[in-house]
Amino acid sequence: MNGKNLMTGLGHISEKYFYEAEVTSFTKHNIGTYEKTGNQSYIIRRPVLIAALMAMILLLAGCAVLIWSLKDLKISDYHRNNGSFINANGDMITVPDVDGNVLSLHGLQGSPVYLAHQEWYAFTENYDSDHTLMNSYDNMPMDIPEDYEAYSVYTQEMMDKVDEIANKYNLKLLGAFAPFQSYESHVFYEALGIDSLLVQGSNAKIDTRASGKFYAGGNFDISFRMTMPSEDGAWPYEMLNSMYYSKADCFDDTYMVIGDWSQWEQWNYTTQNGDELLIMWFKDGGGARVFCSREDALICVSVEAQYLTDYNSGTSEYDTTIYMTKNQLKQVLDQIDFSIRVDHVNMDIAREKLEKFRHQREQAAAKDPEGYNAHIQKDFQSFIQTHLDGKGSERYIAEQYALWDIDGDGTEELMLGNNDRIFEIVYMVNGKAQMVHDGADESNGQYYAYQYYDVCKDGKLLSYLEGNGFYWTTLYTAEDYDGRKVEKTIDILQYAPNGEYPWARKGPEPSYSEPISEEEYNEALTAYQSEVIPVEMHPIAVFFENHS
Amino acid sequence: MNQLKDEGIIDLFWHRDESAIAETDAAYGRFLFILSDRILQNREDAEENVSDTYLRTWQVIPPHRPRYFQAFLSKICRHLAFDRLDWKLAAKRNAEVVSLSQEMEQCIPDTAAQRKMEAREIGQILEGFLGSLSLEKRCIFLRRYLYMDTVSQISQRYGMTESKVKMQLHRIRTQLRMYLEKEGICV
Repeated sequence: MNGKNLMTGLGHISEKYFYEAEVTSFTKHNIGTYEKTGNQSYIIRRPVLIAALMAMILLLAGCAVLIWSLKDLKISDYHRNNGSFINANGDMITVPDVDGNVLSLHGLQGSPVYLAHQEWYAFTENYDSDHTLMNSYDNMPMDIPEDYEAYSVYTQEMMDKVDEIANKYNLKLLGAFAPFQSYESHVFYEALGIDSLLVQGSNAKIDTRASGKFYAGGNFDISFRMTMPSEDGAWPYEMLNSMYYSKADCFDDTYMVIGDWSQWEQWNYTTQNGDELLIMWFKDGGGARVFCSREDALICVSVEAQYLTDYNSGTSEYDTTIYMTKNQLKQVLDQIDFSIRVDHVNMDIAREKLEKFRHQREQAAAKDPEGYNAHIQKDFQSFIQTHLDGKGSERYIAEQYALWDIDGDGTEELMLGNNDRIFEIVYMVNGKAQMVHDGADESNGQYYAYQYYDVCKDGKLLSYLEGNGFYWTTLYTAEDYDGRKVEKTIDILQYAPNGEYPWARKGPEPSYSEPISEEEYNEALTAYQSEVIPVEMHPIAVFFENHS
Repeated sequence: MNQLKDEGIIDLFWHRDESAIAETDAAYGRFLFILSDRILQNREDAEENVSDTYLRTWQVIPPHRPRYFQAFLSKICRHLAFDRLDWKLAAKRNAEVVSLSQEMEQCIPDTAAQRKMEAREIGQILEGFLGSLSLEKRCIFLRRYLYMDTVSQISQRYGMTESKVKMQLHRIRTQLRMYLEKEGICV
């Protein structure tokens, strides 16, 4: 596989992604908030291959007898032959074959949903093994009925097999599905009749920004951020967890692959709420999968049992990992509601709710004609006031400001930052304040500044950005475009100490790269830096006092 | 795009009315030409590619009735352009598509580098990856590598700064590499 293959292969994604990329636009109402104003897009589900490739060990002598074990979920062996290749040094590299176990996430051995999955998995492993049929549909996309989209079928024969298996075991199809974004999670809860993923009275918190998808049959998967209450010994870091809920009367083909049955520990645990769980615990720490098998459903929860810190840009790795203890895991599980029950979902109503909510957001966006861009506000005072009010709190991280006429047009620009460094710059454009240079970003719910700017002569800005193993010094300006101001790249100087060409000049487009000597790099950098104008920053708290 | 208009054009194809081609050209000719030209970097080739797109569309509708007509055309057009593309010539012309393929090269882990995979199979894997992205990231990624917009065009389209677009692309490529590392073992 090479880059050309990826570029070509990208053309084989579903039309819905083409459509989405065509129609979607974003508006920013609040600093850092993007909203979709285009038409609804759909995501076609493919079998979710939760490829952890973990190993599990069965506890032998000295351990309690398990009520049931993960082997009760196994539907097939797994083998992949990865072959060998010659690397750039001419060495023959053999990629180890992978052997493992395929586990269903829907029911225990012998149950109808388990048997259905086992039969379907065996069928797909042997069907169209040379991809002849798959390739014959090249350029001729087949409209798959909605009820079958979840099974990644591409022929009538496959659809017939789905029906055959479902009928044989008296199961419903997953049915139509609806993905939901983080800002639409309330629709998920309403549509499925779920109050919360936490037990009643829990002091733990789940962030409202949960996303996933749900099916007409009632199955769902959801990713959510969870934090524990501040108690002695409790896990203090935010976790990105997930839950897969699978009904016993629904034909689903989601599976997980586990490699060697070693390095894993499993044990039973009964929560304070009385839910009986099977815990799968990675011996070296960092991950936990938890199963709750009920008569009507099987729930699988994945817990992020580690916290990565001290990111090393040189090695692109985290230097420190903090692992959750078993006791901390139990405390987390005590907060999660494993007794959740979903009856059949009326997908029409659910979609209507999603459409209505999206329409409301579009209406709100339409009321702000300038709203394509970052919080177009009437003036600088509004920006500053928003920071002081702390609305959408995590986004407002600037504590200092400065005013300076960067482009020499007689109107000062507003700069925001911290520690005497600037990461946001706002211009007055057609009588309204518009953010043009934005060096803040969001990761896991936390905002941080990743790029800083120095003001230079003649309307230019010099920015500094550290990436994975490289450093960019970029020369920017702001130019007029279609009634607003946009950031414009003039030049990029790159230093990549471990790269083939440590010093390079890159054009406005990152794909352009011209190796230069260290001397040329330093000369250009010095020239740009000699144009820097020092700007004094002041606390935002005194803005109104200084500019009343 | 106008859904009613698209339905009307599809109806023309459906009823084998030859004005379907003219209507398609009026609605999407320029768009398809730009897409073809970005890949082929040659006006004559791009025009031929657009014509081939119309011909192929005529061949497949009916029996197929696309839900999203422009997306349907884009897919065919892009696929035909890549079939036609002479990579060596593109490299000589310093075509953007070559640069983009080099960017994508960074996403391929060593374990997958020597695997031979069908384009469709790669498409399915990428589909899974795209489903894991947020809407914003997915759109940025697709505008760049599917439609070959420049960073500047993407930043203007979505009202973002260029620096943000560049950083997002860099991160998404890193995510793709990690995703392919996992998929490369299990597919």
